[in-house]
Amino acid sequence: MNAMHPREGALVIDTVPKRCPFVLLGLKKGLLGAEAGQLVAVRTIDPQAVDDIRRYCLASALPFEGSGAVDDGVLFIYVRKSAVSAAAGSP
Amino acid sequence: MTAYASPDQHFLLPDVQSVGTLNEGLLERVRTRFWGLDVSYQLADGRSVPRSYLDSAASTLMLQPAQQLVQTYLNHYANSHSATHISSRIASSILMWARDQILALVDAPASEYACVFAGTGATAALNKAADVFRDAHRDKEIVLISAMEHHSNDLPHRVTGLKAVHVPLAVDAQGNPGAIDLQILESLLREYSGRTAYLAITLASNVTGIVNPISEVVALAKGHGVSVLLDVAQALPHVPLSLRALESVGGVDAIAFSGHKMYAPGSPGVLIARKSLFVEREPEHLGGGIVRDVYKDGFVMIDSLPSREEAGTPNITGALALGCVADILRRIGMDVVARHENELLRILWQELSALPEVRLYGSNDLDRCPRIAIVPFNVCGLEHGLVAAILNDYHNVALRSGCFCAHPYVRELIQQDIWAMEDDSEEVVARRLGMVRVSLALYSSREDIRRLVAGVRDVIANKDAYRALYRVNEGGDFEHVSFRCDDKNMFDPTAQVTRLLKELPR
Repeated sequence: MNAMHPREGALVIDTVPKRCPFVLLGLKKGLLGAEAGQLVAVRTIDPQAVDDIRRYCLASALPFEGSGAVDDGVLFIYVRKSAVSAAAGSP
Repeated sequence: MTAYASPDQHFLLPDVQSVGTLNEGLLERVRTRFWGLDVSYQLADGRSVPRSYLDSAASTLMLQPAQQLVQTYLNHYANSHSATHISSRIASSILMWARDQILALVDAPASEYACVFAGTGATAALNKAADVFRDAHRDKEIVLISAMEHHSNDLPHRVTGLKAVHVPLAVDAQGNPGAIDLQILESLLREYSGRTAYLAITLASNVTGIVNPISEVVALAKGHGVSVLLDVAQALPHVPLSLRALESVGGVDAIAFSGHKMYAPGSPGVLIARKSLFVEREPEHLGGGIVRDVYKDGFVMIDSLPSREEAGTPNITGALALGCVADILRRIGMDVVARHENELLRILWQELSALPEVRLYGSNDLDRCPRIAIVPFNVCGLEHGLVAAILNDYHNVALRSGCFCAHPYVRELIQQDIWAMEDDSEEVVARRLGMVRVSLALYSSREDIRRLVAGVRDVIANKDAYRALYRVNEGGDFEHVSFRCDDKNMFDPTAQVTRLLKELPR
């Protein structure tokens, strides 16, 4: 089961051991370096980050692609960078 | 009879007026009788101006009659717990009188509720409540906690062995959080049906002042057989509360509050709880005054409440001051107090919301989402700590900035600010996480608001100039590059003791 995370091809942004809001800010920074349409995986230990990032995606029209837990309380949260955000240079 | 705090029944409920007597004249006389209203400090620009104290959500100023009553009583001071000498009997009577006044203020029947003094504020009372509720619900596994709680009504419930589930807040069309989301509360009560020990919720937030619709909350919780613990530390000095009225929707099981937020610094925290919650419970603190007899191999506790829950010597003078405040507030009438403070809140809200560079937090519909007179804000482009420092150093406006011991709630309130942050360095972000909080009380005036708003306008107009005058110190706080408040010379305890000794007759 652990082998499923991070998903294949995802750009991993490692925010461990930070907690909110630094997880979200790490995602924002990481998205700047991602290709349009690329899947981004945020590695975090903060379960609250799932909700934070989901709400951020909703407000920013970014596709939220779910989350999954691995061992030791580590989570991966998936966001896909949209074409619009790539052109703008930020979400 | 309906209790205060339904969204559509804000501040003035005719049937709650019975809790106190209408007395606007008394309000006007009392509100100028607080210690510290005339204090002036020298500021960074050399001027000496009166202080505007707008930090009442942290601690209020002291009501002079309460201090005067304590001073008068000190001639009789002695420990309680004895009927042997007259002074001790007076002490015991005073404690009873203070409890009676406090129970009367919240309209709690003495036959049903016990008034227990605990520690120095609501924190001690809420920690005690967490233990009491856990002991009373040993067969349950969940505690529901609203998402707007002060840490003191959140953390104690997380460590008693129950699983804490936080209940989110309703959000308005602009994305501003308001009061607790009643629909989600109901769904959680259903989801954890039969497993929930109690709901811990504040009547009014210490960050935004937003008032929860407590009648609906209690009705929902009780409809699912869930007990309710209500933190009234922020609300009680400012709005009417009737536990008797709330009985019509199932009743609140306990409330907790602080005397130091209620014009009586130095007074104890208070837990008012149903007597049935204490039955067959061993208090967490043991000592004198709560035992009938002690043997080498055991002890027998007394049965009577609240003594059984108050080991050691009570804070007699603090209780007396708090009882005095409760008595005076009742004589004024809490609806009169609430009306006065609500008028000030609306002026404050209108003035601040007219400033384009000021961002206010929480739902902005004061009618549908009522709040007590607390307004948190930020100035665009400036850290909250810098704004508070400038207002203090150049305007003598005393207010607080930061997260106010409610970190998750503050993060939710400033969520959109966080989303807009470009810098993710910990130092920079940490200084942006928070807000400036204005909190009013009985003694607050339109002049206080005028001075605050003038100060905020000045901050906005001179952002760059002010920023150049401040640096961040090792503790992460903003400090003026040259101005130092000489607080030791303003009040030096050692010098004051020396002065007092010199004044003693030889």
